[in-house]
Amino acid sequence: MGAPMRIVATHEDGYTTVRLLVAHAMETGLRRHPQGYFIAAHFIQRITATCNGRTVLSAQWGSAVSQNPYVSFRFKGGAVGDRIVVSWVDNRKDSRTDEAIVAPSDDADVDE
Amino acid sequence: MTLGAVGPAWALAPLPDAERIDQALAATTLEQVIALIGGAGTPSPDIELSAPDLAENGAVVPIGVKSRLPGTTRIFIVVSTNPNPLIASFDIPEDTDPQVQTRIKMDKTDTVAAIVQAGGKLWRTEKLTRVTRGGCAG
Repeated sequence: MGAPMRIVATHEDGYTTVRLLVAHAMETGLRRHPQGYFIAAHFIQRITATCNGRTVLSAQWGSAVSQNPYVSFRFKGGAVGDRIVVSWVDNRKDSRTDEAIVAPSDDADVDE
Repeated sequence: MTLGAVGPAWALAPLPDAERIDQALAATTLEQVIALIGGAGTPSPDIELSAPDLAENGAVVPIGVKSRLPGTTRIFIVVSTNPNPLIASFDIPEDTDPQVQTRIKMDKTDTVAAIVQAGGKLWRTEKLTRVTRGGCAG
């Protein structure tokens, strides 16, 4: 399952901006454990964001997206109160879905 | 190495679907990536790529890509000397701005490339980022 994502979505001037901080190890498989063996690759392969069911971004990743991935993007439309749902699946078929409600632009921030 | 060096021979390959992109993400050479995604892209001034001049920690390199090319549907981020040169592929739906910010790992000093699929073609912009400490095996 992993830990919850932090999703901040704000609406201003006809655009909704989404900032996303995902809790995931994003192991490349190339790092060595202190005992010498390689730590197995473990990374998100697909991630999708929807706004009230409409896909607003989808991505395919390799293991070189940084640990605890950060993504920000924006889309036309959306409105305060809309539901942003983000889902990911990793290379072990583990998955997680979290959601957030679009807020007015002045009262939200994300800690990176 | 820059992508232009291996570009034109692949330029007419068909554009990829999700399965091909999965294969490209797993590929270990730039040539394989370019073959799988359908080209290295034509250099374009209409892609803004923000990447640091110097990244002290290659495990966390902030990257921003913004396309002004009409009909942008996909953004690839490529670092040719990474163990897997294709780092990410973002699909851009019609009402989403063709811009994305994220953070990537870089193994060593290299050019970062943003390859944009727009109007059924691939376009490219590159920027050199110096890496003090590699972020892939660290």
